[in-house]
Amino acid sequence: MGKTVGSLILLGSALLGASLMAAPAVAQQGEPVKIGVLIGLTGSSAVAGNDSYKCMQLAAEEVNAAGGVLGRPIKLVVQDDEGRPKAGVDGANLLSDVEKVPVAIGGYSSGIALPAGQVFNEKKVVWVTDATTNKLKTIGPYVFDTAGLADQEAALVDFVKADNADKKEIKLAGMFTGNAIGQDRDTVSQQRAKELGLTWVHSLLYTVGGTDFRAELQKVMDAKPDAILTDIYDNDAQVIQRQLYEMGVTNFSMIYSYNPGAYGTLEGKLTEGIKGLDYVTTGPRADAFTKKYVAKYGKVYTDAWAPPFYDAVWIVATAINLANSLDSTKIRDAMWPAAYRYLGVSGEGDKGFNMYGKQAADQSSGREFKDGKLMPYQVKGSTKDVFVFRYNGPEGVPLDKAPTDEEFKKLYAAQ
Amino acid sequence: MNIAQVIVSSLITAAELGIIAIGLTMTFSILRFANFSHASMAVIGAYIAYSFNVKLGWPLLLAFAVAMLVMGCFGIVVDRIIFRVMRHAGDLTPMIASLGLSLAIQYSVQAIWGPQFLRYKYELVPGMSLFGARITGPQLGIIGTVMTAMICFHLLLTRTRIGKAMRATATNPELAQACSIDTEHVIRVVWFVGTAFAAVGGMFVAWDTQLDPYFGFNLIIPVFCVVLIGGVGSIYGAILGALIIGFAANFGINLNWGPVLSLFDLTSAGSNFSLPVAYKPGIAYMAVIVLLLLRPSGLTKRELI
Repeated sequence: MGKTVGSLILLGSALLGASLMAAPAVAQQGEPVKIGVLIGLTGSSAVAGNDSYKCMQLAAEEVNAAGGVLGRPIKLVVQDDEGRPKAGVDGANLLSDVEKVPVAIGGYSSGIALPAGQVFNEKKVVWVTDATTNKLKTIGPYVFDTAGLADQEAALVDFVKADNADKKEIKLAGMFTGNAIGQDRDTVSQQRAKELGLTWVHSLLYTVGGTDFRAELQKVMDAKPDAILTDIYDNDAQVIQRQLYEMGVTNFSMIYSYNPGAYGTLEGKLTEGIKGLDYVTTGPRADAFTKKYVAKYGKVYTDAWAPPFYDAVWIVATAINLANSLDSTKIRDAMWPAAYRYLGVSGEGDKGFNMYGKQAADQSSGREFKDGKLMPYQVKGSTKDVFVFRYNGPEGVPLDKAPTDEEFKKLYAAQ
Repeated sequence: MNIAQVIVSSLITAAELGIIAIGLTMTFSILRFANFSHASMAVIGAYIAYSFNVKLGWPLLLAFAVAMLVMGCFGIVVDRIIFRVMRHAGDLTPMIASLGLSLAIQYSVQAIWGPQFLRYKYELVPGMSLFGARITGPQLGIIGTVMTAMICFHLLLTRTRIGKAMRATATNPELAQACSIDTEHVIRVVWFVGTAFAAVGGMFVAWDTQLDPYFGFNLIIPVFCVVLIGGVGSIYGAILGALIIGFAANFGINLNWGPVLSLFDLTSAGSNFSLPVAYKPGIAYMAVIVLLLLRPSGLTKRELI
């Protein structure tokens, strides 16, 4: 009797022990992997921010349907940067320190991507953005970009020259955001204009989120430019275009935008004739992606820089699986082979990173607003639909593996 | 520089600041404290008008009129609940309470209407040409309405019993009470008119630009500057102060300062130099400092009229 009771107790203990060991493993298998998202769901670029987040959500669903990462689903943990750098930094700190994400994606606006990138890089959190300021190359090895940078996109100036080929002299003015990307745009545009023999008459770096731009706009118009290059955020575009219209500017064909999608929510009379170069979504998977997006959300995205965030989620998921780890440094090192082998929807599909973790090439296409809709546009006499701008030298080469620590030190010491 | 356009822009700025400042200086004149929540009243008024115009589909001017009346009543309620109990607590306590109220209002607005930028619904038309400047119908309406409001307010103060009672209360509240003036009734009228004016100012600012929860914060300092320049407690001083701030800020960024700077060898002769537009608020504050150095009590005497 005593032996029987003892055996039963022993058996019961063994069974209990086994169940206790098994239970955590089952919970761990189902526990989602958190991926941080820092994007402007409100604020100056809210339209683009919401489009971008929808692209990320679409990608996350697909990743989970394909088995997730390390056998677990991914979960997007989102912080709204409100289009304000301070809110962006607060969000970055929260994602790093409280949510403890190994990777974060977002920062549509360069004004957010830069300071947030500094936070994430310092805390060794992989940060994947599609902002375009050149200064992203200076932060550190944990920062990646799935769209091209400003110095690759100065070809808008070439586009303007080709579109005004009948003019002997072309006077250019610039209207850009008063932050890092705006300063980059201004610098590279002026430089390219000088190289092409065009006359630069005025630069305006406006205060993002401002409510009254009349004085600034008056100065731009007083300079009598033939073409105005712009890169403005969607909410600012609402005010700027309205105030230009009230000032008597009803023909907007002199406006050439680095981001024509920013005007996408405006009524037709505020956009008629605006042209520009948009980041393309023409990869082999692009059509299928656009159809899926429309099927899920009812309408197509308005901002051309939203699809790179879809690619960002997929690259991150692939990198985590390649790294077979949630250690952020291992994920970082796996980002290069992941992007090298991934066929994207944005650009022309090639999303390979150069040694800085940035795109080796940028792809754009001409656009024009007609009756409130953004349509493809080809400069007269041109046969190209897509302009590819690849860096010269090693920066234009996508890498299939991460640089070494020594190479990182040289890269970032030189900045 | 298009002088006519700069004058128009200056008048619009002055009108928007002036009507808000009148309410602030009136509150100060009678209640004797700096009401930091005044600009927040402008914000709520603008958002309430938005709800009437966009959510309920009312015509814009009707939305403005009703929102103005609603806000006037709201001002009375705020006084009843918060500031009445502090009547005899000096000027510091209600000032601090108004600061807290201002923050509470800002975050409540954000919670209710959201942090995104909003716009009123109305037909957009190009501005008309007027002596070389471009001005839209709404902008003419803003200037005209503010001028009309000021004339009506002057008539209220000088030709009506309640206006006389307000002036008496502002001059000496105890003596006014001794003369059987119902000072609490006067205070209610002041809150109603002051808050309604603030709401109108907020609606005009939002109409001319756009709505965002932080625009009250951006208004409070220029409005206080207007009141300080004009003389705290002086209605006509507030109007004068608004004109000075409006013109200083707009002319300051449009003028070519090259010839002035070349006199001090800071630029070469004949060069153009104009201040970046980001300095526009700074010009207004410099004007305040210069004028207060010359006349610390403001440009006009401290009295309601």
